[in-house]
Amino acid sequence: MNKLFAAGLLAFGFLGTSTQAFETAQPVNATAIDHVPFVINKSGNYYLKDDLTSNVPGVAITVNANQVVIDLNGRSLVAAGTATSPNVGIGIAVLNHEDVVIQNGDIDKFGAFGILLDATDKAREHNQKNRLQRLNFNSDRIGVLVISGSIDVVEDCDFDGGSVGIYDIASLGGDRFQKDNFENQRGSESLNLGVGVLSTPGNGTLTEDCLFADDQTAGVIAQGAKDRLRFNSFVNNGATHLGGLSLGLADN
Amino acid sequence: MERPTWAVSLWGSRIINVIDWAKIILWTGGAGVLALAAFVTLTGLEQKPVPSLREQAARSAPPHHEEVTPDEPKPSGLDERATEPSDSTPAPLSAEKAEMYDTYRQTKADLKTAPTPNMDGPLESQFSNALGYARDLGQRVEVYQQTRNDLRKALTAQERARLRAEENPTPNEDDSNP
Repeated sequence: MNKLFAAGLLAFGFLGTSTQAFETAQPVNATAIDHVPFVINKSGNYYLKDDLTSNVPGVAITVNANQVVIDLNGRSLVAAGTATSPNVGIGIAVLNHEDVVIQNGDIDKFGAFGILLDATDKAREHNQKNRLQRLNFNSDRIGVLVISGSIDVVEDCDFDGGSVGIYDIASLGGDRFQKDNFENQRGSESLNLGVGVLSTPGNGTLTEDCLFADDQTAGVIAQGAKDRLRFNSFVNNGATHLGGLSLGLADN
Repeated sequence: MERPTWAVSLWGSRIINVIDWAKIILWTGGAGVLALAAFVTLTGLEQKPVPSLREQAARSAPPHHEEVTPDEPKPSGLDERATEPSDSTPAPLSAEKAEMYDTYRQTKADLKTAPTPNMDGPLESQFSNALGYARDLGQRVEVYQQTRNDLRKALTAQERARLRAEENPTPNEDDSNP
């Protein structure tokens, strides 16, 4: 009898979990992003109703507010035409803001960056606690560019193709890249590096529990003395990791 | 003719005496043989076991802290055979390999001295500087990897293992270094 009761509880819990994954207890008001270029000036929830294609130079979706959630809703934001030219198109740009979440979809073929997180004034509180999760970056020249960020997180994302998966410049400390997959980053005419994670000297990034495969130059180039790598897997890369950590004959 | 009583007792006592002595000799001799066998067994006079390949390699591996002195001249006045390379005294690199190794180390150092990009200013200049830095780094990495590959081809497995040990005397704290 007790076993039957426990099995019932387990089944109920399982059903409850699976439905919770697709529904929320309270309806969430969200604004549809139905065209690009699109500018977000207010905090709130936003989602892609359908796949969107950007064929203009510059940024497809610009975030000019804190506390924003963009749910790509399983859709794709795709560059075409001019936006695929080297160093021209940007998928989503978050400039000097915090607590922005971008999740659940594909960002493809942008010639400059898939997502840009930037603090143009280098102030600590102006690019922090942003989170990118469950995203697929396909053939973006640079998947994610983080400039002067702190406690920004890129998690559960796949980076397929392009030249650099994540490029973190002058981190102010605590940027984390975890449980991400990086595959087949190759050098190109405009950017002669094929790297999963490239981190310049700063106050430290953590790359953890990631997989790097078939990266032409190296899985990771982490040049900051405070950068850390933990529990990563490297398969068939030009080198395992280069930079301020161990490098040289021990690579691969 | 019967022996006198005193003679019988004397003879009998001698007989007994001889038997006792024979017993003593036999017992002590046997115990000695057993003790000798035990001694031989315990002190390893029997055949020693062959060391495993791992043990043999560990005994013959060169010490990790040894400096690489590729151009070091041979000591004069010594028998030529005394300076021949052996398992315990690794030979220095040849002059050509030493030069390749120096070049490799220099290109590796160049990776760390790439000038950090300036992230002040408007977005356009930030992007330009970021991409410029990445391109410069890409060139440095190309040169570094080329010299490393050349060096790898030139070195023997033993030389490579020795240099690797010198470059990484202690394991890195991260797990990604194979």
